Formats: sequence, C-alpha cells, structure tokens
Amino acid sequence: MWLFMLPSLAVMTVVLVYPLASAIYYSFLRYYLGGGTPQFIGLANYVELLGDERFWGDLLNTVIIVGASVALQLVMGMALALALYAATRGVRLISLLNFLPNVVTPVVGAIFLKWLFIGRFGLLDSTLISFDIYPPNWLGDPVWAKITLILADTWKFMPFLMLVLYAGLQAFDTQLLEAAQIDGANAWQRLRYVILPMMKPLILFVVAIRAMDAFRFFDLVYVLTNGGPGTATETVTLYTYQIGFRMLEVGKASALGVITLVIVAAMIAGLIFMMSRRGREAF
Amino acid sequence: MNRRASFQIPLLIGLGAFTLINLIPILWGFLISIRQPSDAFAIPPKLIFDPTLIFHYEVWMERGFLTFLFNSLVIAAGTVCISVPIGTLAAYGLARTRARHSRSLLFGLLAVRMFPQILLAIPFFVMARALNLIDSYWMMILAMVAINQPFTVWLMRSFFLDVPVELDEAALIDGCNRWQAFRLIVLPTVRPGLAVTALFSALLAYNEFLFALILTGSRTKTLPVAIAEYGGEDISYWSLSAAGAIGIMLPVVLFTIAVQRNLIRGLTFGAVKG
Amino acid sequence: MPHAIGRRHLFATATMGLAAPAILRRANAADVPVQLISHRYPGLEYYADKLKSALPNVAVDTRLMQAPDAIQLQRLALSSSSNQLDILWANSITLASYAKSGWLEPLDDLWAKHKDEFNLGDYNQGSVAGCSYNGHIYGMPITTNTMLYAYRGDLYDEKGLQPATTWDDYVANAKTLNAPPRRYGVTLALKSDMVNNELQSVMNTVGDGWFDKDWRPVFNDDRGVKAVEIIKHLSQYCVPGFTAVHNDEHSVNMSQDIAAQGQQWATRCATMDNPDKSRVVGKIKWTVMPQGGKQVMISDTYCISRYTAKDKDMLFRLLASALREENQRGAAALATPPRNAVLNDPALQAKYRWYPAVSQCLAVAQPLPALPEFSEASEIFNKRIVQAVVGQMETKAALDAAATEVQAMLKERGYYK
Repeated sequence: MWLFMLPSLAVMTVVLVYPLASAIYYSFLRYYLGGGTPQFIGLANYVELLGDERFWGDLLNTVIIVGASVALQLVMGMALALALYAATRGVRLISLLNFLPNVVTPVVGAIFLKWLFIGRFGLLDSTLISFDIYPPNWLGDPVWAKITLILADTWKFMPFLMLVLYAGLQAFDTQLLEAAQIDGANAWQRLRYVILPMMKPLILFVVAIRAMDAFRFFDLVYVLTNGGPGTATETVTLYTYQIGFRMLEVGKASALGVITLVIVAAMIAGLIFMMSRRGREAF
Repeated sequence: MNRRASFQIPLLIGLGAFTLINLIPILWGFLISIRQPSDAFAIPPKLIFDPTLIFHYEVWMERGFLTFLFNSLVIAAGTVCISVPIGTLAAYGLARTRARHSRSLLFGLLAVRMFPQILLAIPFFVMARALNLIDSYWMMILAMVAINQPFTVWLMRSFFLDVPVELDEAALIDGCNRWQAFRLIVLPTVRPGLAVTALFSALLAYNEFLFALILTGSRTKTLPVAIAEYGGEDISYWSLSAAGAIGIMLPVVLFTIAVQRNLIRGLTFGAVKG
Repeated sequence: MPHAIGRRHLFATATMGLAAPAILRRANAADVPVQLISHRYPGLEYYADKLKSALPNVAVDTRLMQAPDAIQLQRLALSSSSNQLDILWANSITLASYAKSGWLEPLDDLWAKHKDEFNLGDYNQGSVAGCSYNGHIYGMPITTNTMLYAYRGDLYDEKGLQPATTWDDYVANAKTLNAPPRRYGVTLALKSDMVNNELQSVMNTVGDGWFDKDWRPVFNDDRGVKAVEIIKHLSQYCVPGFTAVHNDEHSVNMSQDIAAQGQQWATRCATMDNPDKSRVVGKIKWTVMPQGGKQVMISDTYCISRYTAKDKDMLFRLLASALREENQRGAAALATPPRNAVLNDPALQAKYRWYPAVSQCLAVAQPLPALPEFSEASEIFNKRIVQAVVGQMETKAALDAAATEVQAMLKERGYYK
C-alpha cells in the first residue's frame, strides 16, 4: 500500500522539506535581510511576539473578521444551496454564475472590490451620492472597514460553501423529508429538525476548511485597507508580511508564522474533536 | 423540499437577483475595462458612455498577454497532470490502509497548508536559484504540485472512502493485483471526484501570484503576475489591469463549464459523510 | 475508464514537450541578456525601452512591476549574491539601503571616466546627490520627483482664496471648500509608505524634521506633535477613507472633482490635463507648499549590482546611453528630467503648464533622511502617525511610541555607539 503513497510523499518531501525546515529554522534566528550574518537566538523571537500587544490585537482582529466571515458565508451558502435545491430550472447556469467570484484570481478580485468600496469614486459611494444618501466610510472607519472585509471575504468564498452544501443536499435521503412532511412538519421545521442535523458533519467540514484558509487571507486586506485605519483591520498574516518584508526581520516573521500554524492547528483539532465520529471520517 | 410550481417563479426571480448582485464587482470591473478613466470613475456613475476596446487590445496585442496566458496554461496543465495522478494514488493508499497513523499523517499534510505561504518564499527562491531553475516552467510546476498535494490527497481520500471495500476485495478475489483493482475497478467510480480535484488544482496553479512572482522571469511570466505589474502610477494602468483581469477569467470559466457536469456529482460523492 | 487515464498521460507528455524548449534555451548561459528589475510607470517604461536599444548587440531583458514587488525581488536576489540581476531601478531610499549592505557597485571611477563622452556634468546637482551614499555615487539619475501644492484655480477664484502661504491658511482653504459628500476640501494619501511623503513638508516646516544628526528621532518633540496635529485637523476636511488612499486614488480624487486641493506628485500633473483621464482639464494650478515647502523629493536611479557577471563598464555605458539628453527630452511629459538643459528649456516650460511650478518646488525640496534603514523606520512611524491622525491613539503617545520603537530598531542595527 505504501507504494501508492510514494510518488506523492516523494514530491512533497523533496520540494517542501527544505523550505519548511528553513522557515522554521529561521524562526530561531535573528535574520536581517539586508545583510549581516544571522544569529541564533533561541526562543527570543517567540517571547517578543507573545509579549507584543500589537500581535494580540491583530489576533483579535483576525478572529473577529474570520469568525464573522465564516458565519456569514455559512448562512448565505446554506440559503443559496437550499434555494438551488428547491429550484427546478436554471440550476446549472445559476450555480455556475455564482461560482465566478471564487474563480477570480485573488489579486484581481481584491482590485474589483476596491473599485466598489473606495470613497468617493467607488461604485457604492457614487451610487449612494447620486441618491443623496451619505455613504459610510467603507475603508476608513474602524468598524466599517472590518465589515467591508467581512463582506469581501464572503463574496469571494461563499460560492465554495454553496457548491459543497448543495452537493450535500443532493445526496440527501428524501424519504426522511417525506416522512416528516407526512407527520405534519412545515418547511421551517423540516429544515431545522431534519435537514440541518443531517448536514452537520458536512457543515463542520466546510467550516473547518474555510476557517483554516481564512486565517491566512492576505490579498484582500493588503489591497483594500493595508491594515488600516491604524491597526483596525490588521490581521496576523499582514503583520507577518510587514515584519518579514518591510522590516526585513525574516526570523521574527518566521516565528510568527509558526505561531499562526500552531493556532490554526489547535483550532482545527478542536473542531474535529467537536464532530461526531461520522464527521471525523472526513478527516 | 418545496417544489410547487407557483413557488418556482419568485424563487427564480430571487435567485436571479441575487446572482446579479453577486456579480456586480465583476461586471463593474468589465465596465471599467471598456471605458476611459474619466468615465470609469465619474460621480455619479456613468451608464452611458463611449465604449472602447483599446485597453483590451493593448493588453493582449501590445503588452504580450497572449504569451503570459500560454505560460499560465502550461503551468496549470502541468500541475494538474502531475498533481492529480500522484495525489490520487496516495489518497487511495491512505484510504485503504489499516495503519493506525494514517489520520495523523493526513493531519500533518494539512499542517503544511496552515503555514503562511509568504514565509516559504525566501527558501523557495534560494532553492530555485541554487538549482538554476528560476524562470523555468518546471520549478513553478513542482512548487504548485507540492503545495497542492495535501489538499488533493485529502479530497480524493474522502472520495475513496465512499467506495465500499467490498468492491476492492471482489476484484482481488477475481485475480487482480492491487494496481489492477485500483485502476480498472475503483478509479472509474470516482471519476466525478477526479473532475473536482482537477478543477481546484488547476484553479490554484492558474491563480497563483506570490510564487509566480518569485519563481518566474520574463520568459515564464504568468497572467496574475502580469496583471499585478499595472497596479499604480498612472490611471490608464487601472484600465489595463481591468482588461487583463477580465481576460484572465475566460479560460477558467470555460474549464469550469466543461467539468460542471461532473462537479456536482463529484462533490456529492466525496464531501458528504453520513 | 482506462482511456481517461491514457488521455491524461498524453496530456502530460505534451506538456513536457512544450516545456522542453524553455529548458533547452536556458542551457546557453553565455547569451543571457542583461537583466533589469524595475518599478513600472510610464516614464520608466520609456527608459526601459531605451535601454533595449541603447548599445548595439547588447540585449536587455526588462522586468517592470509595482515597486513593492520589484524591491522584494531585488532584495531576494541581492541578499543571496545572485548574478542574475545586473542593473536595477532604485529610489533614494532603497539606494541608501542597498549601498550600505554593500550590494551596489560604486560608480565614481566610471563616472569620471565617461564624463565627457556622455556629458555627465549636465546633471542637476540635487539629482546626483540623490544617487549618492556616503560620498560615493551609486546610481545614474533617471528622474527626480517632487510634490507640488495642487489646487483648483477655478474654485479658489470663486471663493476669493489665495494659495496658502501658511499651514493655517492651507487648512482654512480646505475648510472653506469642503462640501461633503460630493466634494471635499483636500485629499490626503495616507496608505502605507505614502505617509512619510505626505507629512514631509509639514514635518520640516512646522516640525524639526524626522531625525537629528545622530539619527535620534525628533519627530516626537513638541513641534513634531504640532505638525501631526495639523494633519489631523486637516483630515476633517479630507475625502473619507484616506488611510486606504495611495497615489492613484489621490489622482482620481483630484481629477474627478472630488477634492479641491492636495499635495501632488509632479509625475501626476500631466494626467490632470488629459481629457481621457480627467474631468478638470485646465482647472488645476500648482505652486509650492506653505511655509517654504521643504516637501519630499525622491530620485529614481538605475544602479549596477555588485554581483553581476557582466562587464561593469559596458553596463555603465548602457545606462549613460539610455539616459542621454535627447532621450530625456522625449520623456519630458512623463518624468521630470534631471538634466539642466532639459529642465530649463523655455519651450518645455511653455508647453507643460506645471513645469515652472516643478522647478520652483525642486528648488526648495528636501530629500528624505539619508538613513539606509529609513524604509524600516518609516514602517514604524508611519503606522503610529496614522493611528494618531485617525484618533486611535493620542498624538504625543503615538509619536513617543514610534520614537522608542525606532530607536530600539536602530540600536539593534548598530547605531548609537
């Protein structure tokens, strides 16, 4: 059996082992990219980061934005999946069109969204102004900027959830639903007591994937707000980029990367733990 | 689910409206790409204007985007052709193994994906330079394959888990060896899964920016890198990047349409547990 | 199905076949062209083009991209002593940083050697200073960019306003012309690295500058706090979302009649009068920033990598040839030429409305501190300044925090012995 796994493991080992090991090794160095020899400093980078107020603030921002994003994507994705399931025509076309935001190159998608949200010549602002409505400060207000990022991330990734949840619905055993209908349950009760519980493993599955990815999202924040205003929308990944490529402290950035890895791994492990055994099969 | 005919019309209208709103960023980007900047960013938004294809023309004909499209396609195709087969093999192995640590191995693979990609940039660059492989298709393809493997293996494994072990065993009893059982009996049943995996692998490689920036040069430059070159410094650059951005989507849309038939079925088989 | 796999194998073979030429081509290292990594804007595109035809029989491979990406790639290549980068674009900030790291070839000897041949004495003194570090020349000037006080002449006339000569007047003018939500008094660009550029003028004229001669931060003294407070006050009359506004957005704000005044790069002036890009053609006027200007001046240069495997004399001649006078005339609309003959040409001054103002501004401009670690230091204090301007922190506290962090960083890099 292990022969089957050999090519894949070989490629991954050869290509990824050096970069990963290097990156983790850097985290124990003081490595300034502008020259000078890197020095071994043990856990000093980690200590510095964990004591850094800005890191914890960024972590909080990330959790808020990711949490709200994933929740919103889940609700919208589920609603859309249910709507598609109930529809009898045009399903292919609608699902394809709604999938497009996920297909767009992340950098490009971020620029499109920028042209929507930028004040005052973005589409949203200029439309609101022409109706004499005072537009909110999408990118410059600490609260609105977070909202904008949540909307942006949802726009990009909701299609993925929609698709997976719709597929889940399709594999659904309709007999259960019919039985419930015969028993007198209305649509809402059918949804709440039959469909959702059956979908629970799948829902946890996609939430796990999305949470894992959303934690690392970079392009949107970089293009739209660059962490602004101030540090209101600064995420952990953005801070990592800033430390590594602007402050040229590669060692410290790598340490932050390892910390990110540990946090995300813990989060996923927690989610898996929460799943029923059936759900765990997916992992 | 409620499938009454009278429910369908409002449902479809609702879905249609939602789809339209969902596509606004893309539609707006398209509109920007066919207008001069003074029209594109006017307040209030100008819906009547003189359309111009000059930016699209410039991007594809004068700025060499056709070459970059070719590069992107080569890298995406190369990635899919290598990543999907070896990932599928590994997934089958993982799905059928009785080894106790298979789940830990899988989790370890996923852990790779949890590490911020930007931090891998420097070691990758150093590695590529040492091997003198900067600006070659191979380095980029290998990098994409390696990065893509965890997700591919994970996804295909869940498809294989759906196939009952009895099927394998029946084939083995009939005299096939493991490889034949895999190739002739099990693999055809997960064809939809292959489509899904191929799509996501292709998307990842096609849309990749950071590694493409670092590992490709003028000869192998891909579309995302090319588009990002025109970020600022002159307003017409925005129109150019809009034109490029619209253009870059077309091959992917076509590919998605092509596999769409298999897409839903594929996700049905693989992603649902229960 | 068996032949689904077969098709895949065919595909893979085809791919390898297509990739083979690329691999084979790479084998001929001797014919590798000169490699350039550069920022991209129309002026640089023009010169990159000129580089390709500057010397006969010398092929040049130009890679132009946005500045952050270009700088990232340059650092990657230079820090690993790669010989794959021959010439590079640099600005005053990166030049000092690269020169200190020992990555650039000093050009003094080559400069003296080829001085007459390429009339290198014609270069504007300020521009040459912008390409030097520690007394040595490290690059050849391409263009020097500075910021001008741009304002809507028509709106000023309407309200009977004069271009401000003091900062209080500047803020007052912005307040008078503030008409939200359709039009605002001023537009500020306070995203990432633009903060220090936007603040340079007020920090030098009201404040005491960024650093003292020993490289200790002085921006957090009383006058520095006052300077940041002025910008904070100004931001009330500014187009919202200014922390997400960089040069392009700033340019659109001016050209789409969204803002009545702002500090504008010289390279953006042509856009204002281009009917395809602007709705305020002919309405913008330019002058010097209040209280003596001292606004930012950044030089773009081409440098030679110390690790290049090619003949450095040839590379120097390549650069000098591409940057000769007739080429600079051709680029006059795109980039302010550092050659005096071109800059002071009355015909050009008449043709381009903003040239006289550009000359005036260049005369009073002040480059950013010649600190090699300036980009790292500015990362720190830019963030803090924005936090102060948007009210996330008290101004004094923010600037003090910035000063402490900058000092810590510089100490680690070996300063303050």
